[in-house]
Amino acid sequence: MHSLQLLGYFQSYQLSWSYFLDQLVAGLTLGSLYGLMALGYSMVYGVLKLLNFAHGEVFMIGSYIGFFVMVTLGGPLSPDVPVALLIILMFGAAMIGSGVLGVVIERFAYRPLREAKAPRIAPLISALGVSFCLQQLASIFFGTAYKQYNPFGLAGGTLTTPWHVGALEMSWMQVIVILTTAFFMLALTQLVTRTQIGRAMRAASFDLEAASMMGIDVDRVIVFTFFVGSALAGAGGVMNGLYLSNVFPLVGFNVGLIAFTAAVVGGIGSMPGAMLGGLAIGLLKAFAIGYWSSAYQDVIVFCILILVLLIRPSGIFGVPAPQKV
Amino acid sequence: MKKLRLILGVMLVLGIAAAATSVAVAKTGKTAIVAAGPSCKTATIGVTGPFTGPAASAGIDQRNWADLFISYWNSGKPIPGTPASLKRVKLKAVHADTQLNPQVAATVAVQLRSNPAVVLVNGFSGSQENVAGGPILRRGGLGFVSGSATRASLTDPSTPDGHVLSNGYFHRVVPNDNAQGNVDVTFMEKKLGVKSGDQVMTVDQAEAYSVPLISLMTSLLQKDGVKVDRESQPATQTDFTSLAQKAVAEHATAVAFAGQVASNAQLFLQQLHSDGFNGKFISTDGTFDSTKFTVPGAYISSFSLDIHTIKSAAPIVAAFKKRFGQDTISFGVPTWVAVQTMAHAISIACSDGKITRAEARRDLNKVHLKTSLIGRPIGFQASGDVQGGISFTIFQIQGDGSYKAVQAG
Repeated sequence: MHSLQLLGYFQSYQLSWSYFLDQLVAGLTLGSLYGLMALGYSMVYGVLKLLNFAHGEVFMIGSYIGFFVMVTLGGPLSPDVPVALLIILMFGAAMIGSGVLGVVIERFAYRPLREAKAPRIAPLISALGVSFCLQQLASIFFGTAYKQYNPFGLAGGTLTTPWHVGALEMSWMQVIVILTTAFFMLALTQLVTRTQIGRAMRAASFDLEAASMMGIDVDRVIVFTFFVGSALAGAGGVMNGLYLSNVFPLVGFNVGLIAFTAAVVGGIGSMPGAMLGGLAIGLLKAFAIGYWSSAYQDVIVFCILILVLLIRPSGIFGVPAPQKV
Repeated sequence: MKKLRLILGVMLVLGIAAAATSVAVAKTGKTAIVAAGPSCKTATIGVTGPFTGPAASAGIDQRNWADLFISYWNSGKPIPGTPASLKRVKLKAVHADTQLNPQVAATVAVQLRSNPAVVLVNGFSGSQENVAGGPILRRGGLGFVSGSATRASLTDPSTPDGHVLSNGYFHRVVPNDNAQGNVDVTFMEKKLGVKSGDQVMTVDQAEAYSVPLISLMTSLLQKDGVKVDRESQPATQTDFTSLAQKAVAEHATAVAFAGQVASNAQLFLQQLHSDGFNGKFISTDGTFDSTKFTVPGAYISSFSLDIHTIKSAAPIVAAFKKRFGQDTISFGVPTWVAVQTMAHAISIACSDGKITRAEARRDLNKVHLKTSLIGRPIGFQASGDVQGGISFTIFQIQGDGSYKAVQAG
């Protein structure tokens, strides 16, 4: 018997505050990962109107980089450096590595098509091609076996041991994921609103051609956008490994599809929308599993998302494209 | 400048391709050899398995047992179940990695079917691989013997899978999932104390192997009055947090997990423990991997009995260790038996000095080993299911991560 039947009822434990808060925290944590990924999709789309389907693979490479840094520095059980430093180094290496990879992808897979004024479908196919190439290369060089971060062994398991405040139960790992995402979101907002390059990004996002005519080096802006978006994906990859342990060549493709959905639902091109979309999907998944059944999680999540898009076709924070007549 | 970029781009792509090829070749250590037709001088068999991918450690164990058998067979060493009077036809193996991926298995099946020298195939390891690659082998007239595919429908002619495969083509030397489901549920009720009125969570990984197995276990438990929360989570979605919290909240006395990714079982149980779960955890043979699933206290069912407990097998186990530099995880032991049945069938078919795929396939049903490495007789039913052989053994993970048999199969 399912704990919650289609037309049914809740079990008593499902009506408790602590259980509700458990699902809330689980959803926020998962949603943070999706949101961070969705930011990258949204940033690139905002500037280039390009769906960068290789973004998930950048996430995957970031996750592998973090894993190899951890293994090189002694592994989770007996790291050669303090755990806090280890985590910072993992994030640093993954963000730099993924950022550079994003720039390389832009330079070799997208820019030539842009310069050749190729039809909009061409970069989309190019993005899919890069995505599959990176998956295959990861399979060849890293193997297809799941590699394990083993977060339950890190710092003697203290990061995954839950602590309680009233009815709230959380682990430090969940705190790390949620706070790190919040930090990156705030930092990105500051970057976009308070810096010269941020203003250039917004200008390019508004009208790439006009921005170029106003003297903005749009290539530089695009490279910067790819670097930042990809670095965030790299950070997401490390967080995914630290929270969910497994890294494998397809990990980015799966997370990427959900994050892309999050970006669309939030309003693609909108950074708060991307984060909100990610959090919404994470929460919907957690509550679907917690209050119904894991077998229906994607059915529930995507039915609700379709409903949202039917009501707001441009997404929650999306702006409808002006109709030129 | 543009030309230079183009040249650099082409060089980069070629460089990556060359590096990838060199790595792939280095990993297999072999290059393909185009063979002539079937021969009774040295018969060629396909040996398939997930030598890379999420189940690589199980697949490599299978390959090692197949290779060890062939070396014993070819060198004339005594083999349990093989009479000294049997005239052995030498064997040559063509290895093929299926990565536990049905699409790859289908590609491998085409390669083996197209190789005229191949007379029988060992495999496929995964049930879903048999569903994908089996019909292709069948079209090539090839019989195949699996040492690990347990999905019940593969040998049930009333199902679409069995209708295609069970007609003298697919064989297996391991019991099917009906047996596994029964053994697991009986163990849960008799040894783990699960009783009527208790709450149990059952979780599959939304694929061909685990869904029918968990469905069976769920219905068996429900029949005995156990309250079952039936869950399903795809193998690529590795966040078990909400499921773990649910199991704890509903006071599940046991969680039964079926899947083919051992590290998912590891993560799920770790998250369960992290949320305070103190019930029993049992997972199925697809997660049998002592390098990836190492949480002490968990139970795993497997058709691969602990070969170390069979005294008569000790010299062969020692030879395995010496040859491969590592001990067996026992998962591949049935593959030795599978290849042995193939070797016998080939020898029977070659009694007139000639062999065809059809003869080799038909003669699989004439094989009756009075004993085998696992200490049991082996033969095949008309459906392709094993006759005799072993049932499922229940292992428990020890403090050092090793697997100890706690209920013999």
